Amino acid sequence: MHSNELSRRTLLGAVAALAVAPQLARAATTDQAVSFVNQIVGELMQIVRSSQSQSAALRQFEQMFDRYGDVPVIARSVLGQPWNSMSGGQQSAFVTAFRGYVANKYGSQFREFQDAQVQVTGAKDFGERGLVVSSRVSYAGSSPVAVDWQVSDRSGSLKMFNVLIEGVSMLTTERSEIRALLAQNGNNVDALIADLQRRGA
Amino acid sequence: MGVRIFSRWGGAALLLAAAACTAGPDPDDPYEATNRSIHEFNKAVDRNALRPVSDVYATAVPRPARTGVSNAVSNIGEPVAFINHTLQGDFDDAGATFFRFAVNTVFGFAGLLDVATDAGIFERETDFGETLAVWGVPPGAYLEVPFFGPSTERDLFGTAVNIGINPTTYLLGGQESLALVGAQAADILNQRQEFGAIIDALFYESADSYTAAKIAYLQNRAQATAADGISEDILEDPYAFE
Repeated sequence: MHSNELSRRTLLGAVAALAVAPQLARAATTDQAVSFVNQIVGELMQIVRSSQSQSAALRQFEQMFDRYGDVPVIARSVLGQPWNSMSGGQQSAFVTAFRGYVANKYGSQFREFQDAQVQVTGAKDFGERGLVVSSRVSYAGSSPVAVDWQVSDRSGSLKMFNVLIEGVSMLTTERSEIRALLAQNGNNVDALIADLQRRGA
Repeated sequence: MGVRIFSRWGGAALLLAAAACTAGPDPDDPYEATNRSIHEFNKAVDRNALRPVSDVYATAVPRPARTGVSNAVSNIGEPVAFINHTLQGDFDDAGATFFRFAVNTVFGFAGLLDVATDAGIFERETDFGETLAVWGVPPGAYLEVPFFGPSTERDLFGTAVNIGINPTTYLLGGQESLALVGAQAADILNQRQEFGAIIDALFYESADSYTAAKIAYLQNRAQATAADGISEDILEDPYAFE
């Protein structure tokens, strides 16, 4: 009787393992991506709704971007080819300056989201292009705004590497912006880094 | 099915027309030089007229009144949205649009109140440019249009058709249509106010506001007609960096 129970449990366990196996073999699952984005959204809304000063909120926002975002990959991607001819020191200085610039630029709009409700609605696997988690940001009395989060675990753990607001990709937008800033700085990467540091301060 | 057959032929004809127009040095933006000067013109219009007048309007007219006028203008546009959703074969959105128009016209005092949105039935904006996109017509070249802003060859044609198929254009008398033009102008001033922070950031804080506006317009339009609201062409793989 006892051993019979055990074997049935083992069998059930084996069936469960079989069902789970294909998901383990694949990278991150859509469920993992959804809970990852839910965690980001939860922390983000906590910062947005807190009564702390703007500068304290921006600092927290930058820490969040560092923790949840794949900042080196994003920075390298928006800079493009010039990345390859930079020294290791320039590359890490660029990543740090870019992080502060992004945190300041997007974080300073944050008060606009104070009364918003964010609802994560689902996720879809796009293979090499990562998982896209969809969410809706709604305000009382107006149509909801679609915000999609592109995440991947190709850097080791789940990281966010792009956000699309009503279909508009931050990667594309910032690539155009960083290239224009580089041109404005006479195509000098050190001048670009200094410019981004100023904008992120 | 009928829509699909029509779309194939209509799409092919317009595709040829668009291809003939887009032959130029840069396939992505053949009219870039002209577009950029029109963009500067539009920015000057915003800086010297639209933004300051919008600020005056916002100071003089309280927000509920401004929202009411904008609601009424949106409501008058619903029949055209209904026609376009139907042409796109999107009967879900067509039904919601019809319902919104009926409810807001009857219970919202001719559309001054947007009671449908308060009940969770949001506006499903669309236009004839989107209908053409659903029918398979490619966007053609990117265009900046004086006073109108970003568009494409397809969408500019769509805008013209959209104005042409508006039933209210034919139903209203001289004085009423003048009132409508006034309300539409007030709606533009109100929108400049409501989206002020975004427009200011795009126009005056971007290092290259022309490209920023172009990306925002093209990607947003691609998303509007994409399955599940995600345009696969826009998704990139930054991990494949060379």
